[in-house]
Amino acid sequence: MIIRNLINKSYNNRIRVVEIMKKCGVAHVGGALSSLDILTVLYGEILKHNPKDPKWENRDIFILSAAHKAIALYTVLQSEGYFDEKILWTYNQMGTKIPTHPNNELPGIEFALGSLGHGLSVAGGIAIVLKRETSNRKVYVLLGEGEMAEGSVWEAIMSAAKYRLDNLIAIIDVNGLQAEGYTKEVMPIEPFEDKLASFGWITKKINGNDIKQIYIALSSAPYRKDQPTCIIANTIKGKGIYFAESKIEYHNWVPNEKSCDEAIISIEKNRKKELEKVGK
Amino acid sequence: MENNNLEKIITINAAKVFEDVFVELAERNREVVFISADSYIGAGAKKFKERYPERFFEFGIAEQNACSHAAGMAFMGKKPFFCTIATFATMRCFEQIRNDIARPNLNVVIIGRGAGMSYSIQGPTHVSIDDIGVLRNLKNLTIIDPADSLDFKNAILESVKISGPVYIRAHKKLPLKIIRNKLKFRIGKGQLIKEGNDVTIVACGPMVSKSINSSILLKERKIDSEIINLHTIKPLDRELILKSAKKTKKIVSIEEHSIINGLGSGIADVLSENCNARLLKIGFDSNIAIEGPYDDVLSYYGLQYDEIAVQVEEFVNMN
Repeated sequence: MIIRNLINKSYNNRIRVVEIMKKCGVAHVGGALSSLDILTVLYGEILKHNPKDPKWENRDIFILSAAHKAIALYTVLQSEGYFDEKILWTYNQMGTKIPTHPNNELPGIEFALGSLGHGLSVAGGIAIVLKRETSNRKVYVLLGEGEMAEGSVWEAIMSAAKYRLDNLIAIIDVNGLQAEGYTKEVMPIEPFEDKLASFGWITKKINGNDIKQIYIALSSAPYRKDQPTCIIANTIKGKGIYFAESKIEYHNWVPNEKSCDEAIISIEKNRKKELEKVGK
Repeated sequence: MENNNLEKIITINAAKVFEDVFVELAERNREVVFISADSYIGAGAKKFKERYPERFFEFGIAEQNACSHAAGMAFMGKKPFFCTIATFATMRCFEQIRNDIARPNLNVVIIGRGAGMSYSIQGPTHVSIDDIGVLRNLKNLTIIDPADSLDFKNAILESVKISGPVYIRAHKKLPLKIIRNKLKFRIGKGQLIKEGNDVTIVACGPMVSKSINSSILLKERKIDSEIINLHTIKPLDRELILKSAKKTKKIVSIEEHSIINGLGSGIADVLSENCNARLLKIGFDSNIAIEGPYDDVLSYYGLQYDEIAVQVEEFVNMN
C-alpha cells in the first residue's frame, strides 16, 4: 500500500512539473524527473518533518545540492502541504518564490543552493553539530552525477568520513547525462561505489526510479555505525515522458502546449505500468 | 633627525592577540567553534584547541569545504570562526561566502590572516590587498580592518553579538595601541581620533597609526588635520564621514589595500552622492605589488607616515 501510494504521489508530482512548464515555460525537466521518485519517497515516508512547522526543531534536514532539480522539489513540498498551490503557478515569474534554483524564502528550503558542489559541505556542517549533540536527526543530501566532478564534493566526502557522520545520507542521482553530454564523455567519474568506499563511505546501488528499492534503501539507512552512507541511484533522465527519456535535449526543455499534453498522456501510461508492476 | 613628537609604534602579530581573546570569548560563549584548514596554529588557536578540543574542527587544506561547513554549523546555531590566510579565506571560498554564508546571513566570522601587505615576501599569491575589494559586494557581510590590537580584540568579541557574517583582517604587524581618547569600539562606527579643520584623513588597519604620525608632521607644516579610524569598512559610517567632509571639504583615505574597491572607494561612494568634497585615495594602485620586506614595500608605495604627510600637504595646497 505504501509503495502504491508513493508511486501515485510521484506520478502526480510529475504531472505537476509538466503543468508548471505548460504555464510558465522552461525548466530543467530531465534531472527533475530522474530524481522525482527519490524526492517523493524521502518526503512521503522517510524524513521526519512537519509541513505546518517547517522549522520544527526535531526535523530531519534535506539539502538539494543539485539544485537545478528544484522544480521537482517544489512539487513535492507543495503536495506535502508546505505552501499553497498558487505558488506553483508563479514559477520563474516576476517576484516568484520558486525560481529555477531555489531561494531561502520558500517554506521547506533549508539552504538555497544552485552552484554545484556546495550541498554536501553544508550538510556536513549540520551533521557534525547534530552528531555532537547525540541527536537522532538525520541529514539527507541529493547530488547530481555531473556535480560529482566538483572538487569540493570530494573534500566533503573526505571530511564526512573523518568525522564519522553516520547521520549523513547522500544520494547521487546517476542518470548518465549532464548539461552538455554523456557524463562518461564529459568527465568519466565512475565507479562511484569503489571511489566512495575507498574514502570510507558505505554505499548501496539501487534503481533510483524503483519506488520500492528507494524506500527500502532509505528506510534502512544508515547502514553502519560511524560511517557516512551513499546511495547510488541509477535513474533515467526525463523518466516518465517517453520522448524525453535519456535525451540530452531535455536537460533544460522549452516546451510547447502540445508537447506538454503529450507528456502528461505519457506520464499517465507510465503510472499505470508502474502500478501494475507492484500489484495490489 | 628623530622627531620626539611622534608616537612610537610597537607592533604585535594579530595571531598573538587572537590566542588569548579567543579563549576568553569561548569561555563566555559556548556556541563558539573554530574551523581550521590546516591553519589553527598560525591563527593562534592552539590554546583554544587544547582547552576545547570538542569545539575545534580541522578540515585540512580544503578551504571551500571548511567554509561551507562553517555555514552548516552556523545554521545549527553555532558561532564558527573560520581562520586562514586572507587570500585563501576570501578568494578560494568566495562563492561559499557569497551563497552559503552572506546570503542567508549566517553568523560566521572569517578571519583573514596576513591581510594587506603582511606577507610582502611570500609572493603574489599571499599578498592580500584585494580582499576587501572582493567582499565589498556582499550584502549582510560586515568588514573590519582593525587599527590596533585593541580594535582586533574588540572586533572578535563584538562580532558574535551582531547578526550576520563578519570578515576581520588580521595583520602580522598590528600596532599594539594607538591613541584614541577613550573612544569605545562599536562595529559600524568610526572613531574621531583627532579633530582638525584643513583636511580629514580617514584610515583603516595599520594605516591609522601612520596617519597619526603624519598628522603630527602636518601640524608642524601648519596643516590642521582631522583623523578618523574607520575600522569598519562595511557598513561605512556615513554620518561621521559626511560630517567631517562638510567641515574640511578635503578627504584623504589611507588603506593597506588597493585603492580599487577598498576603503577609499567606499568613501567615494558616500561623498559623490552627498557632499561637495575632494578625495585623495592613498593605497596600492592595484592588487599586484612589488615584493620585499614589509616596510620597504610600504615606502615604495608612499605608505609611511612621512610620505603620507607629503601627499596630504600637496593635496591640501592644490588649487
